[in-house]
Amino acid sequence: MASPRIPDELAAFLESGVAIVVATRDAAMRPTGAMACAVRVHDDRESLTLFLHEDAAREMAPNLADNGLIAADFDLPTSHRACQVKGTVVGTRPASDGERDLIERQLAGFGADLEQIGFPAAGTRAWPGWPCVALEVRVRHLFEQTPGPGTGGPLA
Amino acid sequence: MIALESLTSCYQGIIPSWLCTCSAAGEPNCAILSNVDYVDSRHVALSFQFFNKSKRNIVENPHAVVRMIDPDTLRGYRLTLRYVRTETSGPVFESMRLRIEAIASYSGLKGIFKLLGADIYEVLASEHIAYEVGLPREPQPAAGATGLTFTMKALQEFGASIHDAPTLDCMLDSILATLERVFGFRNSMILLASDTPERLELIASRGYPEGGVGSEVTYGEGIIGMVAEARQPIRITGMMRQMLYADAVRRRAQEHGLCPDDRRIPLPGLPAPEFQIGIPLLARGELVGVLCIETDRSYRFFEEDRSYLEVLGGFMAIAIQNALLHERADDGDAPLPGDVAPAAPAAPAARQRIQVEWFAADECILVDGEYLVRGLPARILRKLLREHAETGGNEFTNRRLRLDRSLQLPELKDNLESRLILLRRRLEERCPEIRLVQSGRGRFRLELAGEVALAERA
Repeated sequence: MASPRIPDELAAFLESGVAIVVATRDAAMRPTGAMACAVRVHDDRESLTLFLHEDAAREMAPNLADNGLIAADFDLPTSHRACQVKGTVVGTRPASDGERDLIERQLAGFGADLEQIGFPAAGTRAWPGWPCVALEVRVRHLFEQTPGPGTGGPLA
Repeated sequence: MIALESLTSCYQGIIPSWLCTCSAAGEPNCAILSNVDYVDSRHVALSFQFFNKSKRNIVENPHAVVRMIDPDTLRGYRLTLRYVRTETSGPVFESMRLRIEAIASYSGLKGIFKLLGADIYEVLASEHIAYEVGLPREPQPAAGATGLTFTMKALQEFGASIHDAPTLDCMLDSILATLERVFGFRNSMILLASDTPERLELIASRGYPEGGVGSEVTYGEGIIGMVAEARQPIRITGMMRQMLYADAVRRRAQEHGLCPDDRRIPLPGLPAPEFQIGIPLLARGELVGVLCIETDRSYRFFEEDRSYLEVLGGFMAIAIQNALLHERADDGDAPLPGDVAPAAPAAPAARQRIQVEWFAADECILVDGEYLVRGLPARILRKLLREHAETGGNEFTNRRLRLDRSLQLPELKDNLESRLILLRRRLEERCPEIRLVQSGRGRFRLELAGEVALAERA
């Protein structure tokens, strides 16, 4: 089956600094999750890079080695606009220094959005966003995740 | 394993949680959650509102993980869960349902934004998360966190404020003042049953620029109407976020043509409350009214606070009901204790002419073209003004009013005293030139600072 393409507008939303929750699972079908720091949608619109703090990536590593399946939920707290990407991790590597600016910019955007709904600024400024591990993900499905009727429907 | 009881602050819904599940075929899934509810030392509950992937997954494969953040310390916790069952009745379901329906009511989403079930999970493990985006490395206190201080002394002070009040009028203000002084609640209101079935009217408030006396709430509307309907306390924390969540649902519902009702019920009181609690005032099984408390900042509410507030609600209900009965029994013959009448506001400067219009069809009164009151308070004011115009009399007793058939008071439980308080306060807010000054128990004087022109309309 061909990979769905991420539309430009959706790609801009994903990279705008939102909450990113990722889920993986082990061989016994037990899920686990963590929050990611940032995402970069590739020019082919069929793949993306998820950036996880190295501590979170270390916890995910056995699951990714077992099956590579990953889900990422992107949610903007002030509007609850959300979408879910299902994919397969095809590679991992340490994030490069050149990617650090993108990661910190998205974390700051997410923090600013949270502060609008009362999350303490002191908390968001103290987030550890580095060092990160980059997960290279091939997108398999895109789903609408904004709460309400029709949630869970395919986006592309 | 961290005891679930020690994570009380995490169940407030102040900071969103997330849930990870996995389908039987092995596809992981994640979703943001509004609330994780504590059930007992081994179980938590998550709301089931839509048939989404998380719901399908846990039915196929019961394993799940949830992450919660303590808003006081910003520490994160991970609970490893196993789905056990879905409840569609009982105390856990009811508590979640009322909270969700109150939010739905504010957003015009009743029937769409609703609880289908309370999914109960066994907690297999609970642990502190060492690292997470959104969590600082070093735990730190969150700004603005406050909690109740329920002590015997506080309860004693609250009781004294009720005992010392010479009249129901004074008692209502005294209760709200004590809630602020003892517990720090600056914004509160009391609504009592109106003469229209299934409707409450605001009779006393504290901490708002507009007093709002006479504002009406129908059963089932907002947190106050839901409390009246269910006769159970409801609390909502993290309101701004929950309203945003409901707004997202609303937009989706409209896209699907499912939301024809565009009516939004304005929140009572604060423009953007963060915390609201409604407490039913129940005396001998009868709903006397509702106490609503709100704050504009996050507020830590612990389960034991709920019991205290229910006790206070019961105490208040009996005190209000007793005051009503007592004032009814006195009915104009007894002076106020110590002969001290409640302080009436200073008389305003006289006006040339006050235009009062009585509309018979709606049984309402407008003053200078602005709505004043309707129903029984309107009938009472019309009678007072007419009698004053005809006889020049200005002294009235509750007993005489009660005997006047034109007022159409019900035989039992006429609530005349509370209607008079409402009328007096409404006049203070909207037309201070017409005053009802209490001159004894069950007795008052009509004072006019200007010439009243009463017009009768069909």
